[in-house]
Amino acid sequence: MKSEKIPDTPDSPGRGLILWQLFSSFLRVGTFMFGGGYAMLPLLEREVIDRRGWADREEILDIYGMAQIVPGVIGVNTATFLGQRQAGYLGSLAATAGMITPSIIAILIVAGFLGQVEDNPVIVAAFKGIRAGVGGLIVATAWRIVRNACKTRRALLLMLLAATVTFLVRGGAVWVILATIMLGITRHLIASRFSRKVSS
Amino acid sequence: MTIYFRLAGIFFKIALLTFGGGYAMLPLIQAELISSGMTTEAKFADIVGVAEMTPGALAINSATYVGYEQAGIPGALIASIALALPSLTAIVLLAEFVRRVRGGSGGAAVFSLLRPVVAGMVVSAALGLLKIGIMRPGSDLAAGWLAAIEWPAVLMACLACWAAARTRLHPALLMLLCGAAGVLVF
Repeated sequence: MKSEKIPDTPDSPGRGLILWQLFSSFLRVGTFMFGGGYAMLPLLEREVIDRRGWADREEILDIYGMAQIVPGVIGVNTATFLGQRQAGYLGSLAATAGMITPSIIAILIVAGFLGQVEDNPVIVAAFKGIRAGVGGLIVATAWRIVRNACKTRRALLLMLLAATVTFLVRGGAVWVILATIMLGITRHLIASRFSRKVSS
Repeated sequence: MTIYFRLAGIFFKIALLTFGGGYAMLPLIQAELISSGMTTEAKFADIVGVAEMTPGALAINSATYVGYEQAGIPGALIASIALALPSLTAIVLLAEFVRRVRGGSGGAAVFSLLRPVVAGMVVSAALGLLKIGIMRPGSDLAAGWLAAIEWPAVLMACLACWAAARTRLHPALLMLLCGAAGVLVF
């Protein structure tokens, strides 16, 4: 007896495959990310945008914006959001599982050596190199994102303003995003009222 | 058994109350853990140091570590899952909302403003990470910033940036190469 399932075509891989792809892609992102939320951006760009095509450079900004006004870890929020979009609730679980698995494995390995890890000269030197590399990588990513998102003078101005405020004010990102959303809604309401007056 | 519930409660609460990810979360994690007697200030600094140097998101690493120390492997799992749980619920609700809003003209108006703003945040984060990457840790800027810059690190950051912009090498590979170079240079 055959069950009536949607046939697997090259364009729409089976659900199991998508779940596996979500898990493995975020496993790679999690394995090679060091530090907090934004440090994962170069990896995310490669895995999610270039390799899988789950989002384009505009959408990744929407998702990153959302990830910061929702409670929780940015990396997990991003994984959850993309997983949910690609394969529903199970997708969000698969992506999140991929994201936190490397943490659990890595910490279980080093847990016995606390106090020795941060003092080991080889590890410290390697970590210094990695941090320098992450700095360079994210500059390249930021450049691509800005070129993509700021094509008008107004957009460029907004970008510079947001960059300055978030660079100077710690924890300012949430408020900047909420203020932008309010501004967008207000502008939209004014614009739609105005156009209604004109048309009537 | 109670320790499991306590771990789950603490990390669920932390995730629920913080916006903006890892570094925004650390002060709250620190306050919670110290007030509950799970760690001391000096120990917490060590935990953050290890969390930064090991693969994975900073906050998840810290939670896993504390969980493991308090209650072994089940504790590690419970702490990290509790930290991820608010995301799973909040994002699924938000995703549905965004899907509905994004197509409409109002949603489009908001997102067209939001994109350059988030791009600005990426620039700010990039500058911050670059600074961390090329400065000597703990160096005093007032004593002259030229002395605080680690020049081999500048070279490595430039090479990594160039390779990321001009070649198709995987970012993970570039990081591994930088780590290897670090062992040779520093």
